[in-house]
Amino acid sequence: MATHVPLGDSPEDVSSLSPRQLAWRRRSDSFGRTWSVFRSNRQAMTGLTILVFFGLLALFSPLLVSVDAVDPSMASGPPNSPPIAGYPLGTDGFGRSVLSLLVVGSRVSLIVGLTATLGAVLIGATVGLVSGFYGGTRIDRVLSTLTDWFLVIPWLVLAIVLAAILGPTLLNVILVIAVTSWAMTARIVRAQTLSVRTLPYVERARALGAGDASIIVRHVLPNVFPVIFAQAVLTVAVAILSETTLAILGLGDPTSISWGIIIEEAFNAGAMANGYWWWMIPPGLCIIAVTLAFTMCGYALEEIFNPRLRRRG
Amino acid sequence: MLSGPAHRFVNRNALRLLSAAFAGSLIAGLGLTGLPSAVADSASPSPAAAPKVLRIGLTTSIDNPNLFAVNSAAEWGSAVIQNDMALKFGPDLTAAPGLATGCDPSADKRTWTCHLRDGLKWSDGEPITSKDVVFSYNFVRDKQFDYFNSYFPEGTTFTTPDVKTYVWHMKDPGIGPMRPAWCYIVPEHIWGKYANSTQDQIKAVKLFPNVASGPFVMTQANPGQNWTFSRNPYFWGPKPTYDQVVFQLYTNQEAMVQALKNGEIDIADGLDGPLLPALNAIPNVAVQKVESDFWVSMAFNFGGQGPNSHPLPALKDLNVRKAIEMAIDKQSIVDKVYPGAAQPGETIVRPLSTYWHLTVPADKVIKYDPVAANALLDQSGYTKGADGIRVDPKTGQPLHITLPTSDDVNGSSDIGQLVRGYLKQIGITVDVKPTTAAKMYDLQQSGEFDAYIWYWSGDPDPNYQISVFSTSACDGDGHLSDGCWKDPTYDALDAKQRTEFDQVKRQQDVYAAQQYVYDQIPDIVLAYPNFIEAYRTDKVAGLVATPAKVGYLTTSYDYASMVSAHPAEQSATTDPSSSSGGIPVWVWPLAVAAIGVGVFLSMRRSSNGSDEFERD
Repeated sequence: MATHVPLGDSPEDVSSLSPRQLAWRRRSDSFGRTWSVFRSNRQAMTGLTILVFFGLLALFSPLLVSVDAVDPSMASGPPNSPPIAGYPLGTDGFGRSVLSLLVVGSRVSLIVGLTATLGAVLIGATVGLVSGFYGGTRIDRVLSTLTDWFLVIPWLVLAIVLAAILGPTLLNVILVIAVTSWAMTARIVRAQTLSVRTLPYVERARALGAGDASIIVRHVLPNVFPVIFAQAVLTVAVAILSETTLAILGLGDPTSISWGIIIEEAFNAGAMANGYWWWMIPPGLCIIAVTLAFTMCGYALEEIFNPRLRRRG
Repeated sequence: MLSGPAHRFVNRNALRLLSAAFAGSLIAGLGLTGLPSAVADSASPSPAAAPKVLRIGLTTSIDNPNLFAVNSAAEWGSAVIQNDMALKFGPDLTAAPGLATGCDPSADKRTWTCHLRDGLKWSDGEPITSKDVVFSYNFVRDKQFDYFNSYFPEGTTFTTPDVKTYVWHMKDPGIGPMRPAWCYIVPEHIWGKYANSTQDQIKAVKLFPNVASGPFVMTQANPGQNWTFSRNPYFWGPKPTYDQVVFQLYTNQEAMVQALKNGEIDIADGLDGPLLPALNAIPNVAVQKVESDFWVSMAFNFGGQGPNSHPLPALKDLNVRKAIEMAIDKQSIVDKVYPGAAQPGETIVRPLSTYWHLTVPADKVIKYDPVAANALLDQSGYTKGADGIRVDPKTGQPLHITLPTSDDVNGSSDIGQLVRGYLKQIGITVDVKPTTAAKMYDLQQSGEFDAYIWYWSGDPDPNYQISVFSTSACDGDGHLSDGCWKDPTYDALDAKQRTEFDQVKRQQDVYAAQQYVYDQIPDIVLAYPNFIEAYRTDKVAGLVATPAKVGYLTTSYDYASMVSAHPAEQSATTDPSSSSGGIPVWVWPLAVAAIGVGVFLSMRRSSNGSDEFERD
């Protein structure tokens, strides 16, 4: 990990390294190159800074805000109060500090966003890899049709129906988002896989007797992984927005505290008509900031991993 | 869990699905605040020739104008304004003269003879006879329109000795037509054609203009937008001042409040408490807090519903239930969940049934006192374990309650969270599980819960509400009992009020039943939430509430208010567009700017200076 000499131009003799060491060296070099490009992208770094901020906030939220501070029955502040001393972002209908709610909410919002994305990417990548690898066969036709189907049905309608049937718990919200947002990843991974599987080294691996599973996992997956990763970062933004949407529609878990749930409760309390802006606007801004940050990072990564995007315009 | 036409309950979630997500409502809000008041004021009455129109805003769906397809609160309102009951709801929701002037019982109280008014006519000029009354009663029973036919005891038959007289013949003694029967009288010469039709065919019938006996009949319907009712020239009562009444649908309450402010509507119906601050900020708007016609409760499960019913055994101990009631701060629940628009709950007969509702005497009230609650549990042997959670001495089980909350009650999950906090103080843990109403019904049937938070909304008459706590209410599929509480003493009280014919004596029996439930705590009645109605005092006057003073100004139980209403005297000019309430102006540009920046940045797939990103 110490040196970041590009492998191809290296004057160093690498013949003494084992294949495993070589692979690690290659990966660390590749990571280093990506990072240096990423670092020089102002937009990407802005996004990353925002993400680090909210990530730390979510990680340390139990230290910053006690459980009792957001327990409705323990709330001691004046209800529906605009920002005053002690409550820098005002209070909600229970008299809880909106700032405390935001800090606690960051945790649920990010966990839901990340877990749902993990699920979506797992489904999407598997479907895309298998479908692309067996491109043109019956398996591909079935999986592609399934992907197309999930792409064309309006996701919100599907999500609402699923959420209504499954019931409002955090796990179900994650499940619903994962199930409704994997199709794009599958489509992209399939396209990438189709091109990778025709490369000579895949043929070589097959000639050496490697099975389908081993080729997919050891040779194709590492080559489509950057695409999956970039797509995953973009999907997080969508997942967080989806969680918010479901929460506002009353399909979230009302006993948990996420940014979407805070907005929903504000909406229920007539915040729009009553002018409780301190209750609605801050969680909205947090959601915008985080989704924007994920989007900025995602696009930057996409550009790095897909050089064709960069040459455009 | 609802039965009978008392269905006033509005599921806001369903409405919100139709209305808006955050961004959508933000934009809608922007548009509305910017609406010039001049446009809105075009609706106000000016030239003498123009018809006088009363505009009522609603948020529940108006889909099918057919009387037999009524479902939402707004559709019930449309049924009330157009139709008559034989005996109608009076100022205290007991029977008052309607199409019929009154009924006389036979000595054995099995036969009741009722008399119609003179000169009654339908809105098409045809006479109204006792045959129409009996036809209507038989029609709803034959076609099984349950919400109308639950008022006729099994085996009741009707006869018409002459065109002005109809008779109830019942198997058992009873109060029969005096409850009164909430079944609208419809013309036989119109609906008789559908005697052989199915329920669905009848519900699909469209009549324009409608033929009915009430003060207004529907002349136009734009489903999902508005319904127009025009004055019935043959109405038997006093002539209404307004020529037309319009029900205008709004997709959300905020938009409706804005419309009231701008003068697009004269009355806003079916509002929820959270909008009170916004309403109070509008000049020339009066607010009617309607006394609650439903209650939110925490119901305990006593088990026995089925093989999967294993409620916490400790809940059978009255001391545990009593300690839980003492630990719950009902006043605080009301203040935080329904600010300014609810009263702490007490007994199981809703306060809107003013004649029957019992206010618990001060010496019998179970007061909020968490210290005494802890002491009571200590005395009863429920000692705290190492983790601070109390343990049942008989079973060794910790006191842990699974508490589903139903999403068809506004604020139910908020209440659940508050209850969880209160019970933590007395060493009982609670697992709040928000649930859809449909799943809640399954849980109630199977008994797979320890306690739940749901609501009841009975009839004006307390008979139904009292019966759902009796032992027989726990029999079989579709049983009504919340948690299968079984108490022979209560069953006797229920039977007594059911067979008492003297209303004054029956009131005492109804009081006794309520007091008994309050003492035994199968349910903790937590809150009586109000409905809110608001109207423009500079546009409309003469509205009367049913029931008197505390009830609905619009058409939930009776149309009296629509008959007595008249345009207000135009007094000092007002400026309805003055900025009061609502989000401060400066917030909007900020929010828009933030969204704009977000959209701009995310759309911009940075391609400038792409060379510097070039890799080797």
